[in-house]
Amino acid sequence: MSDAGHTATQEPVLMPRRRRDRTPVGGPIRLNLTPMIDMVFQLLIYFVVTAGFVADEGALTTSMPRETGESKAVAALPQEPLRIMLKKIPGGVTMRLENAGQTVTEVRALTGLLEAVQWNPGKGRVGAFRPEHPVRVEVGRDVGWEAVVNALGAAAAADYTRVEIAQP
Amino acid sequence: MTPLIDVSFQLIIFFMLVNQIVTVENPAMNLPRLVEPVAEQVQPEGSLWVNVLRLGDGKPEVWIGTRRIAPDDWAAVTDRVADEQRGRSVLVRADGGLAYEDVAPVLQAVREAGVQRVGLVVLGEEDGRE
Repeated sequence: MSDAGHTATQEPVLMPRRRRDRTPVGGPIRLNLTPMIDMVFQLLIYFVVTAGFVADEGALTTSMPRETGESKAVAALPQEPLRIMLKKIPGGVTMRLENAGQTVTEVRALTGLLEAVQWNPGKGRVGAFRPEHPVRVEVGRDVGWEAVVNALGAAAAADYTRVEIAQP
Repeated sequence: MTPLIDVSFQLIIFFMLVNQIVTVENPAMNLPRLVEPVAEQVQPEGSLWVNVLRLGDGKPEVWIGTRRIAPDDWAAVTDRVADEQRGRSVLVRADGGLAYEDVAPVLQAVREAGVQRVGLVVLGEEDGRE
């Protein structure tokens, strides 16, 4: 009895106060934002680093020759094609449109030449060759791939629909 | 709460990285840039990519999908393309700094694999009509 009475007098004085001091029940709960901000910055850096690497790519669709063997493919052409000859010079490439007898070094100039010799009344072009006339790009061995693709692109930009690559 | 957020962000990063690694098949290179923008937008899904890289010494190196082809082994290019094409379109992605004579044998080998239509991949102009 005396033991029980002893604890009963001490408990309300000491124990509850200490507990209340350590964990304030009903007080404001705080979320620690620091790790979240850390991770958000990590993500931001990740996206900044990875973004911008995807360049805008396009493709020039080409049809490969159906026949095997060079002579057959050439003989199968219905008409003498428009010939664009690419030749490497120091510091660039010359593009000669054989049928017009003119040589240019700028791709846009080549497009202009090809448009000038085209018969396309819808676009005001009064040349001799229809857009479906075959165009052959003849490439010297040391000419860069970019120049080849640009010559194909120039013919396509001038609305020619049948363009082929050949080696002279 | 904090560990949960940490772990979820870690998972997000993990999956994004893995996803990136799985889809990246095409090595970086200096693609030819078109002066006259006439190219169509590439449909990368389901196409077979033939990459022709330019090595440090200017020599070409051919990759088909994720496989490297031994130098000058054009028969291997033909075989691989024939094996992997299965009716898909073929896109040839060649470095703009290469000479035509480095790319021509690849096109020839692709043709010998029975491919009729080939896309030549170029870099689109930003003001291009694609």
